[in-house]
Amino acid sequence: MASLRPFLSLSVLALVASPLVGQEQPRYRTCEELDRSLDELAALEGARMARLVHPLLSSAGMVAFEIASEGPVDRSARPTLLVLGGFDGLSLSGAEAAVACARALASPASPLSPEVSVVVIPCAARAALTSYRTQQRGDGGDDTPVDTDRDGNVDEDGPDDLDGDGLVLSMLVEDPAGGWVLSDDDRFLVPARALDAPRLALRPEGRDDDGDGRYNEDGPGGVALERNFPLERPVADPSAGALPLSQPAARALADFVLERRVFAVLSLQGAHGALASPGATAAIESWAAGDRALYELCVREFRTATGRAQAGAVSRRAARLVDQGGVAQDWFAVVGGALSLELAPWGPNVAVTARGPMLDARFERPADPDARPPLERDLRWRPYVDDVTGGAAFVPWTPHLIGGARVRIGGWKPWTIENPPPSELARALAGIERFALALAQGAPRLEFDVRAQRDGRIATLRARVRNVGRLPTSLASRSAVRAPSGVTLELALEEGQELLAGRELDELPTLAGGESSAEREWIVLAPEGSNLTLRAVAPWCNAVRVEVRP
Amino acid sequence: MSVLLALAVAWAQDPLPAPAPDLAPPAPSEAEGYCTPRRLALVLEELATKHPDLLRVESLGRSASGLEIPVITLARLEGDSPRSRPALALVAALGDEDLFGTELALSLVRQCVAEARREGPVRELLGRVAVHIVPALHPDLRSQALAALESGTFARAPRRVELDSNFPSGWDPLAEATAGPYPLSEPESRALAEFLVARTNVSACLRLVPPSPERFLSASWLDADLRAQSELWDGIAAQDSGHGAYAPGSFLRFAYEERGCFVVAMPCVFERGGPLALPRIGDIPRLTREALALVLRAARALPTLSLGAPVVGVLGPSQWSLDIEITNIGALPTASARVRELELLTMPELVVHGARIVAAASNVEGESKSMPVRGSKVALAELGGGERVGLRLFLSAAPGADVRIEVRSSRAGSASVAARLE
Repeated sequence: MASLRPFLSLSVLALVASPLVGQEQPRYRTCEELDRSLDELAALEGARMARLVHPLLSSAGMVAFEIASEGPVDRSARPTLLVLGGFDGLSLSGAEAAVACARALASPASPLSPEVSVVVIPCAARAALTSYRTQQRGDGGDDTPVDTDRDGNVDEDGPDDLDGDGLVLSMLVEDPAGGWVLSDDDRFLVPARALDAPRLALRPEGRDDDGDGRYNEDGPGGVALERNFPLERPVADPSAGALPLSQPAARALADFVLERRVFAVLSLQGAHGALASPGATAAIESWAAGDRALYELCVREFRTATGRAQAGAVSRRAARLVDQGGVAQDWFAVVGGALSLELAPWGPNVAVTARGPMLDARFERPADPDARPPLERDLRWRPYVDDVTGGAAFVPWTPHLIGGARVRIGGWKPWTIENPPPSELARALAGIERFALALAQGAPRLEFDVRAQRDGRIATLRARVRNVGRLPTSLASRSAVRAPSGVTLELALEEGQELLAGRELDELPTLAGGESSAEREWIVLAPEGSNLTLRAVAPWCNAVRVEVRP
Repeated sequence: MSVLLALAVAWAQDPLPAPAPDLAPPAPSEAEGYCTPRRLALVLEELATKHPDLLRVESLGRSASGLEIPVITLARLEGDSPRSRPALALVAALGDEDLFGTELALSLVRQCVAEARREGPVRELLGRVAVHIVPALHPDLRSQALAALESGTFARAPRRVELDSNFPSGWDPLAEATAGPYPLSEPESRALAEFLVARTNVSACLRLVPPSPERFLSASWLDADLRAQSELWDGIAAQDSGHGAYAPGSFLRFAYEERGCFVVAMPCVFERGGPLALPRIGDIPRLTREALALVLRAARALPTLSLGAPVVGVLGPSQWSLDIEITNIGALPTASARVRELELLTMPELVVHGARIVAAASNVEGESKSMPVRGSKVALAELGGGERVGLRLFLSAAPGADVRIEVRSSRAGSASVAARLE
């Protein structure tokens, strides 16, 4: 693996990084506004960005932009970095981050290599993001009607603002079958143990609109596109879709990744503040372990670009503190064969940068076996709610009586933990565009190192292939449905030439950034004055060709 | 191809085509008598035209090359829609190993229609259930294989994607090279999966396959379903000779694990020969008899709700009790344990028209238990094969009111009876 070195000037991009510069009142933009801002940029003279008119994406209603410098290889055939904003349907900050990346990469000041292409989809889960922005909450589902509780009706019992405070928060319902109890910090919940009481069911705030005894179990929408992918998809979860890739947008994106030479997918989403490698489940985490060195390299680059203090590579399940099957990120890696990363613009480490995470002393020493400290996620966010917002980010649980049932309403306010407050957005996005450019610039590139000699009609050819990029030529982890992923080396014989020794077609192993292959040798019976031609190609690289006259 | 087509036409009219007496028989081809997708479409169109009251042919979708994938619905097409009846689906010719399934399915359809033309058990059965048959899920493969067989160029070679590895359950891109880039990446498998998702009334799926040493049922399936299946397919599952029902990405595994259908792969035993190991066309009638017996057995076993005669009692000037028995007359439960585990479908429910339900109680082994009432509906539990439950409804309506009691379930159809409150 090549040593770490900053390979772009960070100051160059600082000027074009923030999408909010010059705006009086920070706010989240609509998907249409985000698209329009990139359309305006694309309309400038000499722009190297344009709307991508691609039948797969367009027919699924996805708006994409392609950024590429002039170069000899057709942009659609180049190794492509795909940047997805808010594909989880929740991360409006991810959509803003995608636009920031597009602006930075499209800037004439950015040193974007003519070897690569970048495709940016700012609002990758458009319907869900639009709904989230309007409602100030959401579950990532699109606008497909789903019978979540399988009662034959669709979207019949959604959340309501019960207490009239203008917010739809969470609701605790006393329920002997509930799975939760309050933790020692009575804002947060922990899983109930045997004999715990009162047990609580956690629901969105609202009435039992359909009178079935359950609260808000079937609200509007939808299928979460990012969890509509195949690997270890949760069959019983309606929000994952009735079938894998049942949603046209999810399928279009999958087909696009298969069609293009996508070497990296950067999913800008989540609220853990980290750069996460594939592995939303233990099985895929284990599969991805073969590329740990690559993910460590990416984390080093991430630290340099964003200034965030991430110690090392973490899988998605470790970053999110939950297992999720059927996520796009894992499919992009396993089947798409791409370097698939989730970068969360917002997270507790971003929210509390000045002081770092704080833990209350009583929770650091759980000597008492009956102690019920909050869950890890809540512990991570507690310094933010207490020290940064003075408790204002969380509405304490307040008792209410609805239809004879005792409930408590409270929870996290909007624009706290899923997305930063608009005033914090610029800070959350800082450096992400530099990381995206680092990925684009780090794409592997093959070069030949060739020696040839001739003795009469017998020509001897020796060659190595070198990867002069920063990233490897492919993932090391394999899957059965992908083509061999090493470097393919071919000696293209002309008419009248005959191979006496060596292989006409050879498969070399994956080359790390900066690595050279072992030397290969060929002996060829070749008419004097004729050229010998070598070609090499790898999954993440443009093909290269060299002609020598021994 | 002309010889093939001529024989196909002849066979399509008669399952046992007689050789032309004055012509020297052509060199026998393994594909003799097998019909091309185009010929299949013609035959089905003719059948649908001749028997509109018993058979409907629709399109499941199109293959990768644009060929129509037909789906036949066998049912007496009168009164209620086949979509609301208990149903099963027989799927043939997913790969080259079961290419013969098309001929078998077609022959089976002909025999079924012939039986249903006259009064008898088959006609009666098709009055209460629907049988969906997909005779050729992979028409592209069929075209290629038959053409190659006829020209003598057929060679079994691994394909990019095998349809029967391309379904979601157990789909494994790490181990199965022919699983496809994602489940249902092929238009044929997607069309079939979408059909099954849309037809929530289908509770059993069948395939016709050559004998295989693979085990039929997966040990990881739910005990209650394994028991129900074993009883239903008695004599078939016991042979341990199903064809990869639980193989990763297989259709039947999907049908059970994601849709909660009961499944069976019926082994068709025949003398093998030629590169594709197709049965001789002359073996088809015998194989059809066996397959038909299986299909009819499965159709008879489909869960079907039935209501007994209601008994009305007077509780007050305008309050009544109404006792009624609900029976699942099929051998299969109204939903598999897998359906319940996934919470895939709505539970059976009883609806009263013409009176208000004040309360409801079930009567199980002499013990009366209150049941939840929502508006005009009472939510019921799933019923096992042959199970009967007694229900007492407490109703409010004017004396002399005519009420209709209806019971319905996604997979067990519906039934209704009328009563007068007096």
